[in-house]
Formats: sequence, structure tokens, C-alpha cells
Amino acid sequence: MRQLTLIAPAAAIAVLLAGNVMAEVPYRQTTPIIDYGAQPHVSDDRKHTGTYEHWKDRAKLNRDRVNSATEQWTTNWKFMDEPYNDTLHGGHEAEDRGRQLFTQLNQNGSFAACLGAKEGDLTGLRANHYPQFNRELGKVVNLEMMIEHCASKQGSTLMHGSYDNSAISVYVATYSNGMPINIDVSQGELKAAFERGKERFHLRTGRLNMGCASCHVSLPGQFLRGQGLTTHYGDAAHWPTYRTKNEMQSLHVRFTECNRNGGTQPLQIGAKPYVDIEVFLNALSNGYPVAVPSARD
Amino acid sequence: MRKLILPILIASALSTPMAGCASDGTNKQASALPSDTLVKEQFAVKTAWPYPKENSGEIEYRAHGRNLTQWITLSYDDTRSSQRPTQVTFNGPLKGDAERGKKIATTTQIGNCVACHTIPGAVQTGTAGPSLAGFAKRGLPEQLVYQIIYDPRVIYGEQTVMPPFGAFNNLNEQEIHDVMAYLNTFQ
Ligand code: HEC
Ligand code: HEC
Repeated sequence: MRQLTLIAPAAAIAVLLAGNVMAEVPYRQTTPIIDYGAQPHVSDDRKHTGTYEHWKDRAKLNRDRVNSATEQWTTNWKFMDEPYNDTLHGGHEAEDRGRQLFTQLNQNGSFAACLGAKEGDLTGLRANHYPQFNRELGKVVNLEMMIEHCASKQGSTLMHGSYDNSAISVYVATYSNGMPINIDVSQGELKAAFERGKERFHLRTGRLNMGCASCHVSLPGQFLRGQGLTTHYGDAAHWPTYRTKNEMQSLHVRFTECNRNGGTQPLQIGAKPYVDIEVFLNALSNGYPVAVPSARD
Repeated sequence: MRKLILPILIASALSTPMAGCASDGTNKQASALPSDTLVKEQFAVKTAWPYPKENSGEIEYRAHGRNLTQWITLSYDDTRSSQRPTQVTFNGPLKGDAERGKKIATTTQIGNCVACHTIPGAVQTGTAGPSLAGFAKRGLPEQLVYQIIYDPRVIYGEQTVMPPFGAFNNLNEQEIHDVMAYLNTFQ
């Protein structure tokens, strides 16, 4: 009896503590959020890492800087894209595959129309139409989600994040090549998504308590295991991209990789936090020209 | 205060049927896992990643090197809490094994200190944290070093980028001792 009464309160304390944690607002940490303004532009990087001058004009990238181990990060690694690597890489193969698949799906023009093309013209879809709030689906969608959705209407499986989905996305994006990213996050659903994405980007998660911003806001210019970290401005204009480890990656696939690198359990491709982060990163690429097919280390 | 809390404790103990473990052996953490996490039950580690296999409209899921499901995710449905900054006491004397410490500090899925710190003899080290070369010569108190590795937020403030290895259940007491023994070899 003695023993029982002693143990009971101890067990009760443990249960109450566990119960409390669940009932309370969960404890969360975010990294410091810099001022992004209501309608960000890629040149705002001037107030952040100050490297914008070195990569704003891809044609004028400084070769010495690109080849410098310590200063390469200031070129934002865009040298991996054209014109510095104009050899035939996996991104070009994906583009060809994308053209074939698109032509098959678009025999009667309904696929392009479903993606939002006016009179079958794909020009600018990638640069200024996505991500976008979709009334039919009742949520913010990116180009890859719409490719999956529009293909499924014809009975085709093209999962967001799959090679073939990315191939079509690259092909569609070629019609925006050179056009500046233009997404309005100053109002409505996209503003809400932008605000949520900003919060998610700075939220610390996982076994190492790291947010996206731990690496991309606090540490640009530093090296992690020999890999240099660059600014998060201008990150969204060259996706999907061919990774030189021979993997055709959509932006969300990259997010799952970065999550794993930071010790956080990844989400499913197309999960709402990823879409919101994509809106956030797209806004930080406003004014930066689309460049596909791209290749990245 | 005491008197008020105790009856409540007992009442809640009676009304909370074994919140900790479900009958199927999964724990509370696992059942609280949000539905939009990329988890595949067929993998022992649960944590999966998407591989876009060539010329296919489907994704191939592969197992990650480690089960990450016990820590909070980016999901909006994740209601779990993070561990708050936690103060600890070093229980000396140091009982670490430097060889084990080396493995912990240089292996990606364990301590991975080398990702951020220069460690003597390691290649491809990081610059996010200060170099640990010559660390032993600096004579930092063991209590301080143990606290830094267990939870550096207590020393450097909440915004430090160094992860809380002990407080976040990455390294146990013995493993931190092992890492400390390894750091002590950096003359
Ligand atoms: C542990 C460090 C770390 C964390 C945490 C991290 N990243 Fe990364 N990320 C990197 C590194 C290293 C690179 C490659 C170098 C670069 O592009 O800066 C990279 C690259 C990227 C790229 C590609 C940039 C490009 O232009 O090709 C994107 C996009 C990105 N990260 C987004 C994210 C998002 C979103 C998160 C959070 C879900 C995140 N990262 C968390 C380290 C990290
Ligand atoms: C993500 C980056 C990162 C990782 C991983 C990391 N550290 Fe650190 N570490 C730091 C930073 C940054 C500091 C400096 C604290 C600050 O400025 O907030 C630091 C400080 C330290 C210090 C104090 C150094 C001094 O000169 O005072 C020690 C000791 C240390 N870390 C050990 C470790 C060990 C051991 C591990 C692995 C178990 C580790 N760190 C993993 C970033 C990291």
C-alpha cells in the first residue's frame, strides 16, 4: 500500500507533463526573419548577402570569381547554367522527352488549355503564371501539380516530382526562357501563401533544430562539409534542374533533399508547406530571368 | 500550491488511459506523425525520399540513412513541441573513448561535427563553426564543453546554429563523453 501511494503521484506527474505538452501551444523556434518587404524583388539581395551585383547578369559572370574557391559562392553558382556549360547534359535530354510527352498529351489542345495557355501559346506560363491559386482545386498550385492534374484527366500518371513530369515542366519553361519571374504576392491567396512560406522557411525543425534559413540566411558564404552556401535570392528561376549526380530534380524534390541534409523528416511532394515555400522563393526571384534546361552540382 | 496540484494530478492519471503507448506497440510520437510526411512503412527507417527514375511518370521511394520521424517537421499538422534550451551538469570524471568519439564526430548520420567545424585530419570540413584544431590546448572547463555539445543554446543564446545534440536526443551521455575525449586529442 505504502509503495503504491508513492508511485501513483510520480506516474501522475509524468502523465500530466505529457498531457500539458500536448495541450499547450507547441514550443517552436524560428531563425531571425529579415525584412522581405510586401513585394520582394531579386535585387533585394543587395540588403542581404550583397552578392547580387556578381550574378545579376549571367552573361557577364566573372570567370576568376567563378573559379575561386573562396568567392565562388558570390556568383550564386549560376555558372553551372548556360553559357558556362553548354555541353549536352541531362537537362537537354529531359527537354526532348518533355516535348514528346507534351505533343502526345496535347493532340487536341486540351492539355495546354488545362495548363492555362491562351490559344495554345505556352509563352510566359512558367515566368508569370505559376504558382497560382487554382479555383477548381481550391488551393495554390505550381506548374508541376497542374501537369499531374491535367495529365490525370486523360488517364496518364505523371506524378509531381517524377522524371516525366519534370521533363514536361522543363519543356514548358523553355517558352519563358529569358523572361523575368513575375509573381504578385502583395495581395490575396498568394500573399497568404507567401507569408506562410516565409514562416516555414525560417522555422527550425528536425533532429538538428535547423530551418531552411539556418543554412540559406545565416550561413551564406560559409561551407558545410565542403559545400558553399549561397543566397536564397534568385533560387527559383531554373527549375526543374538536372543535378550532375544524374538526377532530374523538381524544386520539391530539392526541398526533400535539403530537409534530409538538415536532419528533418521530409514531406510529400506537393505538400502545402512546400508549395508555400515555393511561393516565397519565387517572390525572391522576381525580376530574375528563367533559364532552362539548367544543370547544378 | 502543492496541495492544490496533487489531487489534480491523481485525477488526470485516472482519466488518461496510458497515453504513452498504444496497444499495437507504436508510441505516441509515431501516431502523431502528420499525414503529409514522406514515410514508408516498408522501410525499417520509415523516412523515405523520392527518386525520380528516368523516363517514368512515377517516383521511386528510397530509404533515408536514418529514421527522422521522432523530430518535428515542416507540416502544418505537426503539433509536437521542440525541446526548450536545457541546462545540464557534467558528471565527471570523463569516461570517453576517443576512437568512438572520432566516429561520432565524422559520421554524417550521427554527430557530423565535421560538417561545420574544422577537425584536424578530416577532409572537406566546414566553416560554419569555429575551428576545433588545437582545441585541447585551450583548456575549456569540461562542464562548459559538455553543455555546449548537450545544448549550446544555453551558452550562445537561442539563435546559435549549432545543434543541441543532447537535448534533441541525438547523442547520449556516453557519446558526448566519447566526443569530448576525441576533442581532447587535438593538441
Ligand atoms: C544543412 C544545410 C541546409 C538546410 C537546412 C537547407 N539547405 Fe537548401 N541547400 C543547402 C546547400 C549546401 C545547397 C547547395 C548550395 C547552394 O545552392 O546554396 C542548397 C541548395 C538549395 C536550393 C537550390 C538552389 C539553386 O539555385 O539551385 C534550394 C531551392 C534550397 N536549397 C532550398 C532549401 C529549403 C526550402 C530548405 C528547407 C526546407 C533548405 N534549403 C534547407 C543546404 C541546406
Ligand atoms: C550546424 C553547424 C554546427 C555543427 C553540426 C556543430 N557545431 Fe559546434 N559550433 C557551431 C557554431 C556556429 C559554434 C559557435 C557558437 C556560436 O557562435 O553560436 C560552435 C561552437 C562549438 C564549440 C565551442 C568552440 C570554441 O572555440 O569555443 C565546440 C567545443 C563545438 N562547437 C563542438 C561541436 C561538436 C563536438 C559537434 C558535433 C557533435 C559540433 N560542434 C557540431 C556550429 C556547429
